[in-house]
Amino acid sequence: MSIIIPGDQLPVDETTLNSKKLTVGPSIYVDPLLDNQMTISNAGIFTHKEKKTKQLITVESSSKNYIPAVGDLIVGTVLGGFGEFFKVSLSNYKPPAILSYMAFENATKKNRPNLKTGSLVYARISAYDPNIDVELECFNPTTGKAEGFGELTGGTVVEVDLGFARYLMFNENNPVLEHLSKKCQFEIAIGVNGKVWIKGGDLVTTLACCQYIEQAQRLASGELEQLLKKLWKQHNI
Amino acid sequence: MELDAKIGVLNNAGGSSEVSLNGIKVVCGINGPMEARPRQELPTTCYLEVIIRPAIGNPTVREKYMEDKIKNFLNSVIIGNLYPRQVIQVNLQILEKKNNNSSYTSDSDESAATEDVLLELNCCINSAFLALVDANISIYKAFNSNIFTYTHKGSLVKDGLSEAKSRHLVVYGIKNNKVDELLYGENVGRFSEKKLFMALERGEKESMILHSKLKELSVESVKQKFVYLS
Repeated sequence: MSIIIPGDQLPVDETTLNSKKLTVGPSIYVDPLLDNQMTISNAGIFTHKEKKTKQLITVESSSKNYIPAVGDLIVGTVLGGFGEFFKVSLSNYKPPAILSYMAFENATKKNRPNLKTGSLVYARISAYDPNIDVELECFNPTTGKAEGFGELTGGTVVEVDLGFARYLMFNENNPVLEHLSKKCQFEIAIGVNGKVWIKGGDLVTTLACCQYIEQAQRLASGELEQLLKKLWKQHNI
Repeated sequence: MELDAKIGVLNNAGGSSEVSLNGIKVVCGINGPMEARPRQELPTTCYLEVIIRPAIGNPTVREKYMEDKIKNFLNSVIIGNLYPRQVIQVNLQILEKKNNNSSYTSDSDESAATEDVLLELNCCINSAFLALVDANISIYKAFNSNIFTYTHKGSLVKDGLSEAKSRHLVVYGIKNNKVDELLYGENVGRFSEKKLFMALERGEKESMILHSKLKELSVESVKQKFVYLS
């Protein structure tokens, strides 16, 4: 694991970077004023992946502050409606995103989705520009099907660090959820905005799952089993 | 005096740090980028809000002066165009200030207060760097601050507390593992141009030493954040 912070040099030398087509990921700032010089702008784990004709450099950094990007799957809270849109909050103290009434499965002018203030939705970010409102959608626009998006009923939301949320989402066989799935049944929706919605069979299981996810982000994978045992004992499940 | 620091001390802040240096202890919390009030909004860049709370009593013009200084140079360090029309709040609370019974004895004896400002700025700047890294806010370069003193005998020491003829606060930016540029300097007392340049030169060396220490701390905090990968 190579960790770098701002002020460091890129761990890859220039000739390697120039040899193949390069894609630069987040946390590396390409300065247009300094002849596209690359500098490390955030602290995190550096990765360099190479394929036959292309290569990728990224810095994976964790924070508590979500900045939207197109295609991100998020868990949001409905704050209300105006005109033909719902206002959806992605994170606190940030301008809300908008979700059109039409961006649902089977929605028409007459058949409007019924979301109340405070309800949760699982959605995809369909448009993002820092200068205008973020736009969301709750269906796949090519097929018109919901495909798992839409309102989340029951369950509860845990807030985790963004790095941990991405880890849960993009590592299908991550030990955190694998251990949990051996213990109980649950439904989960992971938002890369650091909100994880989880629903167990009953209220106590949901609570235990919730505490498990929250505490798992501060533990090494070896300690997960012990945590599960402790929580399940604590809740008498 | 040696720097002593912790990262991530406040749970509800986006990033935070606690630094004690030269008998002064500062806790820094950074929030943002978040939605700006209409009068703060800048169309192409982020608005920086720096708030300093003194150890005792309410903020005065003295704190406002420090806020301004910190804000000015942080503006050149933070990559503002990544956060247009947003606000980043830097809160600095001075927790502890040991009374160093006014070691400043120049002929003009301007005031011990100005000299205190240097000590506090020094601590605040280092703590702001650690908190910015913790908050994951994009910055062009790393930076740190050192304080140097010319004693009455004329020797230059890296110290903020001993009796002094003049004191120099030096903040360097660090990029690609090298000292990049002088970001900010503040001087109190009576000194010649040559002496100032000598202090700046010394600052370059010391700033790399301090940087390696701050780096160690930051790397450790990143490891803590990604503990679930182990």
